[in-house]
Order: sequence, then C-alpha cells, then structure tokens
Amino acid sequence: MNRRAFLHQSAWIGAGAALLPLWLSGCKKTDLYDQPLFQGEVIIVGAGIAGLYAAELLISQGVKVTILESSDSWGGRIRSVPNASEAARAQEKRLIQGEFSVLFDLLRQQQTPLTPPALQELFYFNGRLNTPLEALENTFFRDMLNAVAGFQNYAGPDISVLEYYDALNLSENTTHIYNVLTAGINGTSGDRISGLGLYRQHNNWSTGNAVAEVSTDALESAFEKTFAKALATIEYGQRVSVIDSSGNRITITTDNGTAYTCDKILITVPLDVLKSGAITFAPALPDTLNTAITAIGIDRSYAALMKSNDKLWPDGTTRLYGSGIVQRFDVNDEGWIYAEASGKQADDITAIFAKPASTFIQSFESILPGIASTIEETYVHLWSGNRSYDKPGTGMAREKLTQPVSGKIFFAGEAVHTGGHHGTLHGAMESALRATLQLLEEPIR
Amino acid sequence: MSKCAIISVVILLSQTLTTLAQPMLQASGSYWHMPVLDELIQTYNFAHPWQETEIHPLGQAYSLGAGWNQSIYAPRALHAIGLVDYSFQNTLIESPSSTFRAGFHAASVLAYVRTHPKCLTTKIQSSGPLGTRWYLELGGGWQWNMPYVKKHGIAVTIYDDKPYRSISSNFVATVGTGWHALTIGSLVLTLHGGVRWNPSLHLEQFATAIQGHNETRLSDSQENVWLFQGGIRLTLSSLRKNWWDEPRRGDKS
Repeated sequence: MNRRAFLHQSAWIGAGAALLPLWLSGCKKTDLYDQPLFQGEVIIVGAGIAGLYAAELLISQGVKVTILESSDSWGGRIRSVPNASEAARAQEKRLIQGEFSVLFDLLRQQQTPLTPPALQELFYFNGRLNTPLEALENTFFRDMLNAVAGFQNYAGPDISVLEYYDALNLSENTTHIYNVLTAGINGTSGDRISGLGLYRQHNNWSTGNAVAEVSTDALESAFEKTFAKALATIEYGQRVSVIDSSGNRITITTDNGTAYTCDKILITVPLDVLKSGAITFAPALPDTLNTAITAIGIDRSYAALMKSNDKLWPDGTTRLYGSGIVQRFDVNDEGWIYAEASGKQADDITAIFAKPASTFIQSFESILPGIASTIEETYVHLWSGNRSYDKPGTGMAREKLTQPVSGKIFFAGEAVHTGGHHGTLHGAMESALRATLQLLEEPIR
Repeated sequence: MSKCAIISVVILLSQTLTTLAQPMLQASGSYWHMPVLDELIQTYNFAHPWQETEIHPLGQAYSLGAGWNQSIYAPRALHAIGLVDYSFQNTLIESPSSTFRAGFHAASVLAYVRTHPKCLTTKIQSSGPLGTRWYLELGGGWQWNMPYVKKHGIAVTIYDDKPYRSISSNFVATVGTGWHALTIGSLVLTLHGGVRWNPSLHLEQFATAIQGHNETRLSDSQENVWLFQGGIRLTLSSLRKNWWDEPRRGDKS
C-alpha cells in the first residue's frame, strides 16, 4: 500500500472512530423526565420567589398549579419597604452574593444590570463617625473585626455571637458594629444568632463570594418576565388558615372561607407564619417538623426608607454604622436613607411608645446631629419575620423541614435551605428546586 | 542475588526492551455511559426553564495515548502493553448573556496483556504483521480525573475564592480487541476497540460546582461508568525481525 492510500484509509478510520461516540452521545436526552411523573393538581402557598420559581418549574412539567397569596402583590420579601412611594421604591437596591447561583443565571439571562457595590463606610464609636482608616487605628475596632472573622473557623460551644464577644472581653464601644456585621445582616441581633451557625453558613456556602448590587425594580422586572406563567396562576388575598390532608385530596381553606382542593401542596410561607400557628394542619404536622420549626430562628424586623433634603454625610458614603437602637443606615448621594432594625433592636422599637419612624430618625440624629430636621419623607414597614437564622441549638432542623409529609405536603423557602444559603433569594430558589423534584417524584402515601 | 546476576538481568531486560518493545500511538473517540452525571446536567436544564438552549450531557471524549508493546511469550503471541492516555470531554452552551462550560480531563496509566486467540488454539507462533490480525487484550490501571466548570467565562468558585478544582483517581478495568489493518513501511495501523469499566468515578464537588448548591440528591455522588472506545493505533515495528516477522508456516489468516 502506498503512502496516499494509507493516509486515505487512516483518515476514514479516524473519522469513523470520532463520529461514532459523537452519535452515541447525541442520543443522550437533555430533559430530566421523559414523561410527566405527576399529573395531579398542586397548590403553592405563598407567591414569594420560592413559590413563583416552583410554580414555573411545575408548569414546565405540565402540572396544574394554583398559587395562593395572602397579600395583594407577589414577590414576598423582595421589597424591603413595600408601602413606600414610587420614587422611594425606585431607590431600593439589593445586594446579591454568589455569582454562580441560579438567581445570577436568571438575571444574566434577562440582562438585568448588575453592578459591583461601592462600599464606603463610616463607623460611629468613641463619640464620632470614623472613616475606615481612622477606625483601623483603634485597637478595639481591630479586635472587633477579628472577632467577626473568627466565625469562619469557629469551633467552640454553640453560644450566641454576643456571648462569644463578651467572652473575649472586647470593648463595648464597638458592640453595635459587631452586632450589625454578624447578626444585623442576617435579620436578627447578636444575642440570638449562633456562632456555630455562622460557621456552618460560611463553610457550606457554595456559590461564589462575589457580590453585585441590583435595583429592586430591575429584580422585579426580571422575575416578572421569567415567571410569567406562574404569575398568571396567583389568587391574591387568600390567606390560608387550614390545610386538611386527611382525605385522598388535600382541602385548603382560607380566611375568607374559600376552599380549594389539590393532590399535593407546597408551602413556601415565611417561617414566622408557621411558627405563629396561623395555619392549622389536619392531621397535625409530625413532632419532628414542629420541633424543627421552633428550632430555627426568625425575628421581626423594621425596614425604613427616608429622604433627607440636605444630606450631612460626605459624598460617596454608602453606609453608616450607628450606635443607637438602629445601627445601620445605607445612604446615597441623592439623600435617600435605608435603615433596618431586627431582633432585639426591633423589639426595643416596638416597646417604645412612639412611632417607629421617630426612633429611626432619632437614632440617625444621634450619630449625625442635625439630620433629623432634614428628613422630609419616611416610610417604615414592619416584617413579622425577616430572614431565618440559626439560633444556638438549631442544629439540623432545616434538614428535617425538607422531609415531605405523607408524600403530600412539601416545604420550600429560604428557611428550608440546608446548605448555608438561608436568608437569601437564591437560597429560596434552590430550596424550591429541591422541593419541586421531591413533589414530582415522591409517591403519595 | 549477586551484583553480577543483577547486572546480567538488567542487561538482558534492556536488550529485550530494545529488540522487542515497540512504541505505539493511539487516538480514539469514546462514549461514556454515566447516568448520574447525565442526571446532573438534566437537573441543571430542569432548573433553568428560561434557557433558550439546553446543555447536553457529557458523553463523548477524545483521547490520545502513547505506550509500548512488548512480546513476552512468542509461542502464544502474548504481549504486554503499557499505555498512558489523556482524554478530554466537555459540554457547552453559549448565549448572548451567559456561557456555561463543564467537563473533565482524564489521564490514565494502563497495562494490558494481549494475545491473538488463533495462536492459543493452533501452532501458529506469531501474529505476523498482517498474519493473525485479530487480537484480544485485557488490562487494568488507574485513572485520574480533573473536572472543571466555567460560567460566564470564568471558573466557578464554591467554598472559597479559588477556582473550583478537584482531582480524584480510581481503578479501571478494560477489555479490548483489535484488527491489524494495514502496514506502510515499518508502521502498522490497527483498528482498536474496547470497553473500560470505571467502578467508582468520583468527581468531587462537581455537582455543587455545576448547580451552585447541594440541595438536590445529586450532591457529591459517584457512579459506575462504562466507557466504549474506538480508534486507531499506530505501532512502529522494530527494525529487527521479531514478532512482526513474516507469517510463519501455517498462518493463513
């Protein structure tokens, strides 16, 4: 055989060897299910991000879905101050951490503007506002930051972060900043959140650490486009009060007496609704689930949007850490102020016999004298439950909540995330994915 | 054993290697049957109903290998083969707003024993270059796997800010067959096919890296993989006459 023939035949043989696996691989299916596994009806309680995402996934599988929403709007806790004016609402922004999450995929797909957050903070302690450089010159401030960072490797007893702080004998001058950095950002206060819980959250976090800022309007717009089919199934003003799963079909009764039936139900309401006993289950939920619901923390929270007509903070400042009841103020150059008080601080606001708005303004005045007289708009919203967090003793409670009841009742939402993403939007979506797969595959018992 | 005896064995071995060992190159395509990894990609597609294009499960890989072939018992045409190969596979979607690319590199070191069945049942003592062309081989070895996942053009990070990286290794067993197709000069072109069994392919945290979380049952799973391979081998026959020698008398295949 001559060289030409040899090369010719080699080329044919090579092409055959290359194309055969390509053809075989092309036969692999891309869809998870060949045919619908479950053909019944599903009711989803709650039109937050978990409920909407689950509905969209179920609808894509041909399942008939109805979402029952107690309020007159969808989105759950996407907006912090839903009662604010349109101009104020347009100022709302959210920080989204984890650039490899399903939420980021969704936002990129919708070409939602995502910007890296510009963080320029001022810290109030020793009777004045300090720039980061000034603050870092203070030993107590540095010790405080080390204590915060310490939770990445914390392996001590299951105590609150405040107890941990006290055990280190750190200066009370910086307790309020420590409180915000460890607990406030998790929707509670330092006396309630678990140090081990923070450690677990940090170590289980699995979606990248990059942070992006997105306006809440843009976020809503992206969800509106993505979840159009789910949004069409919402029945507003239906506050679920009874879920009766004793029969072949589940009967759901709402506060206004409307009854619905379905084969399976997915509950995505905030954990505080389950804690409050506002929904009666018949038969009662298993003890393990009730124990789990009790073991996970979620606190009330005040969120405020305010507008100053003469801002007194330096240009470019994005956050001020206060030392009063309200300890965190996010600001911008247009004079807008967003503030949040959770956990013990929220309870303190409730206990004061005054309008919550005045407490927010007074707290800001205490670190920025003169600002009170410049505030021209104030909107305050009270959330009965903000974001779930691990209390001392929470342990594996979230895992227990992922267990379906009789193959009929399923739970999703940020509080049911087991991998450290609780308290986040993408955590809510991820738990909805898990619950949807369970719902489709779990046989009714 | 005396020093002299050791030196003698070494000289003998090196002589054997230089006279009988033959360098070999292998290029092949393979189909990987791995249902758990398929389900991982399918679950990703399920979780992204807004995606215009679905990601295709990993399945085909292309590999290059190099090794040597050495006669160990000429009367029964028994050969020992050592092979190092590298394979690569990936899956990809690209859209104006995002890209997703995932796959893994695999490198393996394999040892085979090969025989020409005809030589086991008849008195033919050599395969000959195009004599008893058909052979069977049986082997095993070790495979190292290095998965990767990129989203939006950057390597994903999971538990820290470092790009996701994981190296795992596992035992593999393989059976193969081939057909010496043609020769040109001292090159022999062989059609080769085989099945490789990978009883515990474990791509650590691959599921977490792809999904961005570990909420589904797929987290950190391992599986039993079957790999079906086809390709060509080019063997450089030795200049000296050895087992590639002309077919012996009685070899009519």
